[in-house]
Amino acid sequence: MASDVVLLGERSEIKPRPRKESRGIGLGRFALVTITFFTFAFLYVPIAVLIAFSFNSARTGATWQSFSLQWYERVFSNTRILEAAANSLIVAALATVGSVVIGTLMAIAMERYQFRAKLAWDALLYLPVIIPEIVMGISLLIFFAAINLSRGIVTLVISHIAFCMPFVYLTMRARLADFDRSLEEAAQDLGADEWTTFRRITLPLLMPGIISSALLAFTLSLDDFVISFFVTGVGSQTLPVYIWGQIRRGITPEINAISTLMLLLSIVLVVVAQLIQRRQRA
Amino acid sequence: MNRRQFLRLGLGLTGSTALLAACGGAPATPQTQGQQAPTTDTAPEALAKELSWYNWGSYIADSVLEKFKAEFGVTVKVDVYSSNEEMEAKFKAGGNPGYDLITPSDYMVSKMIAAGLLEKLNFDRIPNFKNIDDSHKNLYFDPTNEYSVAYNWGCTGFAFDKTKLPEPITNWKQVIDWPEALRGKLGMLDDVRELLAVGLRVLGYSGNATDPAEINAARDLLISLKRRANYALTDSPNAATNLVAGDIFATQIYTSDAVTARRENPNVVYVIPGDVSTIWQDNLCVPKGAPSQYTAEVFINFLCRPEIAAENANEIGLGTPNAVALKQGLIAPELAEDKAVYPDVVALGSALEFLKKGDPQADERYQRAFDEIKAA
Repeated sequence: MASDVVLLGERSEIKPRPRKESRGIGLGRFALVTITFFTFAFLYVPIAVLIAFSFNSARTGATWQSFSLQWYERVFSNTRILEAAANSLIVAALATVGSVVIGTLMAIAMERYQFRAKLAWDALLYLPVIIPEIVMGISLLIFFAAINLSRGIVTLVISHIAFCMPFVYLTMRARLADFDRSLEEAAQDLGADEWTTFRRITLPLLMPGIISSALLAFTLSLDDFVISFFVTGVGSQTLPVYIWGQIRRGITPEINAISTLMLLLSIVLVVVAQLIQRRQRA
Repeated sequence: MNRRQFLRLGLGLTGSTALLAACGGAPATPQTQGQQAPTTDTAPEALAKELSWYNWGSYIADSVLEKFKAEFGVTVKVDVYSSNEEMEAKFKAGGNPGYDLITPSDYMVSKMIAAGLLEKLNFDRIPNFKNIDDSHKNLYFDPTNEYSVAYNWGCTGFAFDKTKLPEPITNWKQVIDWPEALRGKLGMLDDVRELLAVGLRVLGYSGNATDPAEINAARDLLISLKRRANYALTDSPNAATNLVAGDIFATQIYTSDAVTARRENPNVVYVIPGDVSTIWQDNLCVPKGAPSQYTAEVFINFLCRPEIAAENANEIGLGTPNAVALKQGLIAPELAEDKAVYPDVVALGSALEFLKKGDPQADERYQRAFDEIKAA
C-alpha cells in the first residue's frame, strides 16, 4: 500500500510538464511498447507454433489440416519416447539434487573460510561455465572410457552434476554475499549448536537461493544435448538425444506433443517454486 | 575362443547369475571360426531377457517388437541415431557400449568390416534368410554375405507436385535444365554425395567418380543450376515438409519421405529418374562385443518372416528385400504397386548405383566441391 501512494505522488508530479517533452515521452513509450511486443513475440511465438502443431492431424507439420489429439495418443503408446522422457526426468532430478547439495556446500565453504590461493580455486569453480560444452562432453567421454565405466544413467548423472554445479555455485555465492551472519551468531548466543543453527537459521535463509538454483540446474539438465550425446549409453538416451536421432527420418508431431507436455511440467514446477517462496516471505 | 566367449565362460564359472542372465545364459560351447559345426553343438542357447538395438529413428514398427516379446519373451530396447557416422563413432570411441544389433547402410557395412567392428553371423540360426531376394545378397559391401542381412532399401529419387510443373520430370537432365521461371521452387538434398551425384550422372560419369576433373565439372554444373534456379538445400524430411506446404514444387528426396509427402498431398508424384539414380540398403548387423549374438540372430530371423517384414515395411514406407512378403501380396498395394518404391532392380541394372564412401582422398575432393557449391 505504502508504495502505491508514493507511485501516485510521482505520477501527479509528472503531469504538469510542458507539451513538447510529453510528446517525446509518447514516442519513447511507443518504442518501448514495440520493443517489448517484439521481444515477447520473439520468445514465445515459436513455442506457440510448436504447441499449436501438436494438435494438428497432419504428419509433416507443413500445413494445418484439422484439430486432433492423435499425437498425444501416440506419445502415450510410444514406449521409446516415454522411456526417453523418463530418462530425462530421472537424470535431471538426480543431477539437481547432486549439484545443489555440492554447489551450496561449496559456496558456503568458499564464503566462510580463508585459505591459500582462494581466488584461484574460485576461478576454477567458475571455469566450467565458460568451457565449451563440446570440450566437456569429449573429455568426460574419454575419462569414462579410461576408467572403464560403461556409459549409461550413471555417467549421465555424473556429467550433468558436473556442468550444473558451477551454476548452482554462482547463484549461491550471490545469495550468500548479502547473508546476515549476525543472525547465526544470535542463534549460537542463544545456545543453538552448529547443526541446529545450520538447520534452523542458515538453511531457511538460503532456501530462496536453493530453490532458484535447483530450478536452474533442473532446466539445464533437462535440455542438455551436447554432453548427453557423448556420455549416453545403451537404453539411457535422454529426450533431446532421442529427438536428434529422429532427424533423418523426420520429426513427427509426437515430438511437439511430448515437448508441450514437458513445457507444462516446467511451468508447473516454476509456479510451485514461486508459491513456496511467496509463502515463506509472508 | 574370443573375448566374449571367454568372459561368458568366466562369468559362468564364478556363478554371478545376474550378469549371466543379462549376457544370454549358458556358457557358449567353444566354436572355431568359420567351421561348419555339426548340429550336435547347436544345443539351444538361452535367450537374453533384453536385446539392445542401435537403430535409425522411426525405423521399426512397435507392433513388431510387441509380437517378438509375446513370442520369445525378449524385450527389444531401441536407441536411435541419425547418421551412419554418428553410430560408427559410438563404437570407435570407447568400444561397443553394449548393443546387440545395429543397422548400418551399405557403405558403412564395408567400413565397419574393415575396422573389425562387426561379428560374422551364424546363418544356421537365420533360416529365413532364404526369404530375402537374391538381388539384396552378396552386394559389394559384403561380397560373400557373412556379416549382414538386408533390412530395408530404397532409392534417392525425385518428387514433384504434378499440378505445379508444366510437364512431369522423368530424368535428372530435366532437373539440371530447371526453368528460370520456377526460380526458388526446386529443392536438392543437403548431402555432399547425393547432390554431386546428380551432376556427375547428367555428365555421363559415375556417381562414384574419383577423378578431380569429373568432380569439378559436376560442381560447375550444379553451381550454374544454383545461379539459375536458386535451389534450396535441405535434408530429405524437410524437403517433404516444404513440398507438402507448397514452398517448393519439386525436390530430390529419399523414398520414405516421398511416401510420407504423398500420403499428405495426393498431387505429389515420386519417380526414380530414368538416368542413373542412387540405391541404398540398410542392413542388420551384430557389432563385435554384442552381449548376446544368439538373441540378435533369433531376432533377425524373426524380422525375415514374410508377415513380419511386411508389417514393418508397411509402417515405415520403405522397400523390403523380403521377396516372399511381396510374392504373397502382404505389402500394401499403395507401396507394392509403386515402381518408385519397388523399382525393378534387375531390369534397371546399372541405372541404379550405390554411393561408395570411405576413400579419404575422394571424400575430401567431394567435400571441397560441395563447399564451393554452397558458397557460390
